Amino acid sequence: MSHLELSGISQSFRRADGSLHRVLAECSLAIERGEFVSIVGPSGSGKTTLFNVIAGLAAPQSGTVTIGGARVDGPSARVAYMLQKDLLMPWRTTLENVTLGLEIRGVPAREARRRGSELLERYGLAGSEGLYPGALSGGMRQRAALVRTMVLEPEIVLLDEPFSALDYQTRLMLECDVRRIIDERGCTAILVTHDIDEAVSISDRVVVLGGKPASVKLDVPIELTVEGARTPVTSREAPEFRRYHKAIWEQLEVALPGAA
Amino acid sequence: MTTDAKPLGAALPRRVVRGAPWLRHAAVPAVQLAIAAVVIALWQFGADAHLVNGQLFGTPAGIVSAARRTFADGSMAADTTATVYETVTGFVLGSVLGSVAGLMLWYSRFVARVVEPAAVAFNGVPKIALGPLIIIWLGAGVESKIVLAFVSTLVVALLAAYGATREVDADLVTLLRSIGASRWQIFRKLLLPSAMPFMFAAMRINVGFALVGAVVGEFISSQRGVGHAVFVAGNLFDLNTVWLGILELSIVAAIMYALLARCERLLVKGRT
Repeated sequence: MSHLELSGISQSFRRADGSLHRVLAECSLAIERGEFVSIVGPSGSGKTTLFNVIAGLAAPQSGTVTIGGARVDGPSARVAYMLQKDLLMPWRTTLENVTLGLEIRGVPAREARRRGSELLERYGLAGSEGLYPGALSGGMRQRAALVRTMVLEPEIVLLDEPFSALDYQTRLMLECDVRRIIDERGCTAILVTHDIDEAVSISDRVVVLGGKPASVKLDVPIELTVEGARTPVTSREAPEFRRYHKAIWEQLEVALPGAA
Repeated sequence: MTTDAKPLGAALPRRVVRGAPWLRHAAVPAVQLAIAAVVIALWQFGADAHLVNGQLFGTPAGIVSAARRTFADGSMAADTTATVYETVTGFVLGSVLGSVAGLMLWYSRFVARVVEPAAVAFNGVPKIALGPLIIIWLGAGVESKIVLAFVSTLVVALLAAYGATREVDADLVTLLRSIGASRWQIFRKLLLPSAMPFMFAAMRINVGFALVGAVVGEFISSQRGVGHAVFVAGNLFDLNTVWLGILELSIVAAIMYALLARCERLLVKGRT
């Protein structure tokens, strides 16, 4: 049994003019415990819809989602979200932002603060506990958002383009950190991205969504030969890197006729 | 696209008042006081030299003697107390009930859609037009002025709070829902704090509206209050007492603004 199983997920929405917009058709996917999977696809290919279904925020029209064999039918403490926007609340300090989820789950304030500051320190944000988000750089804000996600001790982390608003260096650095932290905690991760390089370099497996309505076009494990430890930086040096890039790119072109 | 872009002038060197820090802090109020002193001196001089008609414009000396007279006979204290009481009570009731009602509209889109057009229409009505009705219903006492100040502030507070709930980032709501937050938790941890700056902006406007409500109520019919004193003095062409009333009202407004700013600093965090 896989950690996360999507079977036959279909979803559609009613447009304003009353016509039916089918987003996902019969999407099936099985993800093992501890796996890091990226989902690549053009805009409007239903990635966010898929996320909402996994997070239990939206029920699929048909199909089922199971986590560790248990069916998902609402927001679950086993899944946590991280988005492109850091979504830090400007009226809360870094530490208060990080402990938000613990607060909502009813963890006593003292315990929440202890766990929050411990993680902030571990992940390179020592000293920023008392600062408001307005005083943090983009990279630090996204890192704080990561800590806010990880402090909930999820089994599955959903990453919805969390790096796309960052500059190149910050982005590489944060990719390395995210991958390391997720491995350290033994989490299963799903990353949605537009960036093929990012998907190949950070993931164990890349899934391409395409078509209207969208379904799985390609599901390819990434095996790279690197010297020393594999990180999103060293992965880019691997001889197989371009080949994976090309294979995925071709699938995207099929899904996006006429696009350059 | 960056959100922390500095204003264009920020990079340019600015002329600053040089000298000790206390001097720099004192510079602005010192200039303000100097301007006030010059205007008052010119005004008094003009009246003394018969360049300005003291009967039509009042005089600084006349205002001082009006202040002394009303202070001595206790009417200054009685009138300002009455007006402050009416204004503050109406303001607090209007701001609190209006804000609560506006925030509650977040809970029900249906009720919001029913209420909104009426609120917008009522917002456009000059509330002082309700004065005669309210005075007929409630009499010439403080109650009618409180209600006038209340209706003058209520809808502004309601529309501001409701507008604020619609400004809330939908992704933040999704994030909180994914963590398992209840509707009440979303309200308390997200809606309320993010609406706070908007509600304070509405309250700053409402200080003025509450004063207008109370003072106009006193104009229409009353036995005391600064508005009453100004109205009576105006009918008697006693312009010094009218000026005194205006001065008292601006002091009341300034104190209310200052208290409001203090509350805002305590309650609205993390915005620079």
